[in-house]
Amino acid sequence: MADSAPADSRGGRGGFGRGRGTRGRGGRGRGGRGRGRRDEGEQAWVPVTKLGRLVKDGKIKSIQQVYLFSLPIKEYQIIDVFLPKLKDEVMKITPVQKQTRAGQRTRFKAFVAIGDSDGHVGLGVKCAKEVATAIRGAIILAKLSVIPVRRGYWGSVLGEPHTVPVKVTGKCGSVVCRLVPAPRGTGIVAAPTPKKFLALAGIVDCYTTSRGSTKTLGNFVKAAFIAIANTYSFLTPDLWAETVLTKDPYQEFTDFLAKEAAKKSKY
Amino acid sequence: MNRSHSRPRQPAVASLPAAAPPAGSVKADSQMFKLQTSNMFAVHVGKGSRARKNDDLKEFFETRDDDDGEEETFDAIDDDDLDVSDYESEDDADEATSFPPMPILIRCPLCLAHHEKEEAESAETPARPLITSATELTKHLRDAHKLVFKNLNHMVLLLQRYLEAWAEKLSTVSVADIASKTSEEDGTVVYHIDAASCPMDRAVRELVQKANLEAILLVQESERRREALEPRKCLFCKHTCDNRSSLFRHGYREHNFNIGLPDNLVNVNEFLHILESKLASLQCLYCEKTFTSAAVLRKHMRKKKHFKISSHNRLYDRFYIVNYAEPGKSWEAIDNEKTDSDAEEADRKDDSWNDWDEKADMPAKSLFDLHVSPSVEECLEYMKREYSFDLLKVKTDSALDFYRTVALVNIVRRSTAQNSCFACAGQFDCATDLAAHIKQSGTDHLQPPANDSSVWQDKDNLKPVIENDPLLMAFDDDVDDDEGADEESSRKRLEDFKRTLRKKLDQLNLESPTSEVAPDASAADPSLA
Repeated sequence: MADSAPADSRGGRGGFGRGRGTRGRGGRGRGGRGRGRRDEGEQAWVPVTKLGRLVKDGKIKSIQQVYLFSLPIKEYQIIDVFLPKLKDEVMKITPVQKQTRAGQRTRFKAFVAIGDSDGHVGLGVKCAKEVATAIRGAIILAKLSVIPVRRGYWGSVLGEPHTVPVKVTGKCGSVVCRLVPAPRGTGIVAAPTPKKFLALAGIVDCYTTSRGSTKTLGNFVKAAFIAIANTYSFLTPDLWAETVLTKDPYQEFTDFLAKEAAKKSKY
Repeated sequence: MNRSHSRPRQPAVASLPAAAPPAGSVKADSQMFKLQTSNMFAVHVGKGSRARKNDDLKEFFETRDDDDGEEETFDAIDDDDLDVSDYESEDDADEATSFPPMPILIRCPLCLAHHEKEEAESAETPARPLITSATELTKHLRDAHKLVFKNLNHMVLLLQRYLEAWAEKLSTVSVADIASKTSEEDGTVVYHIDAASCPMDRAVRELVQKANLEAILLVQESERRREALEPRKCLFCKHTCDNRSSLFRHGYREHNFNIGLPDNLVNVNEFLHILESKLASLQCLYCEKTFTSAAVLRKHMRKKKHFKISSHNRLYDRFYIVNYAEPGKSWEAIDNEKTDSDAEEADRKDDSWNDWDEKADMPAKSLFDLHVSPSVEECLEYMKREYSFDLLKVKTDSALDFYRTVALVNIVRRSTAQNSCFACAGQFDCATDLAAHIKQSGTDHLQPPANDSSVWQDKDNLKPVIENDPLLMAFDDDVDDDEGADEESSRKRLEDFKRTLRKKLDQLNLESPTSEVAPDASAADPSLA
């Protein structure tokens, strides 16, 4: 459209940083510095880790494989590839002040929870000088911390799993949070913030109990997250069956990875 | 030097119409009219000519270019024709620098405090003047209250709160104690309050600023949940966008319009409304110049790339959160500050969850009446006091597990709602009768149903009667406490045991130097090893 900046405008794209080329000055809109939008169709992802390379090339079919071998996920785009329907929710922005020589310095801390309401949740915290930067950083950290949630039944094994399979607890700071299975139709019995969080996890019915200073909602939510994470670390009788050991992705695709590395080092 | 360019053109006056501007369709009349003005260069110097490319002449051409004469439908503009990048000046020179003074709307709280003290008897409310500008405010403070605040403009975003806090403070402390006195020429005494020298002022500022910042963050949070999801029409075209983030994205991609990320803004609807009204009154957002018609304004903004707001205009300050964080510092200063303090940023690992300190207490309704306590503990206390009903004790006495306790709470709530006692199923006429009965009955009467009662099998009793009932979150199974607590308590017990044994050993050693007792003691406790 005629309105938008010409693609080859002097000094760089988007018309920002023209002329002087300093970060964010010279012709920017207010707060434009934080805006460094790469034109919304985000530049293609260039993976940096081995896992990233495998995921980008579609060698790994689902996130279950990653969880099965407990491979650490260091790039958030991996999560985007497997779980495109993640919804993020900013739970709180608090100002945090630090005393410096030149007076006080205020920064903003963002607490973000992310989940697809169907078995995956993550939590992220980030502190930054601008609210938008903090939120963006927290979303990335939340994506990196996504964890699978095991759901089960309270009584009869009918329909879809709807509650935690066993009683699980999580502890963070001085807060202990306990999740107890509930019959269908109970809903989530919890304080509003952990309730939102449990809903993001895909848990439909659950009782919660808490001890400690639940006034620090931050610790409370983190304790709930740890409790949810424990659902898959609890060995129940139906998991007693022997499983066949499979090769982990790095070993399976080692030739592919070696080829990539060789290609890169050709320079 | 300018003349040298004009002279060779002079003889060509007669052939003026031939040298008409490239985009055609200029009427002959307006051409003639232009000849008579001193602005001859709009006609003479073609757009692509070398003169235009000369940097020194940029300013000259700008003042003389008569844009209004060129009629172009804005859709017809082609960027190739309009090679503006060469003679366009640096944006800062275009940017508007002088603005109308920021309007403030405030009723002086100091006046109220004053009047309340003096005219406590009079029934009529004193008329507090409505002050609308900063100069008026300083004048009023000086004349009416003999106060001069230093750096009052730092507090402009939270003026009301600041002055209210000061009004409160001044009702308890006298001005002379904390402010520095000066005498003006006309003999009146004026008090100066300066943050640098008066610690009370600093404290007041910090307090007010903190409260204000949190309030504004709450506003932003509610906006993010509700307003940001509403559709809105774009400022520059007819396109309607579904929600705020897509609106901003559209503005950036289609119109190169950037006022910042929506997460950094607050009261965005108001902000956009102000911008829209500016556009409606045909004023350019960046250089604040007024134009004659919408098409002309549009063309001006496109040519000069003024699809942005002027960063120096203080009017927009209150829409950006960064200004609330540290009042007194302009966002430019904070921006520059960012670069060096990022380097000394040692606490990057500040992912502690402790900073989120918020009251998670939910008001709890009592089991037997309509009393609501602010927290669960208080509710339990209340019931213990009034009705001698200790929920936790009942739980342990009857050895009820978690599910049974939940069922019990629900059963009691359901019975109370129907004005009947859960223990004896007696029906009462109203809530007060029931409450009286419960009070009279005492603990022995208020027992949960027997162990083998069919009530426990009923799954419906597990569904909470009140949604998010805080009482259901108050108790825990003592049996399967988490292992962490067990470990800790058992370790403590072990330590205590070891300590007492060691003490006894020492005592024995003091009493009798023979060590016949010692080996027995150590053998008795193998874990001492």
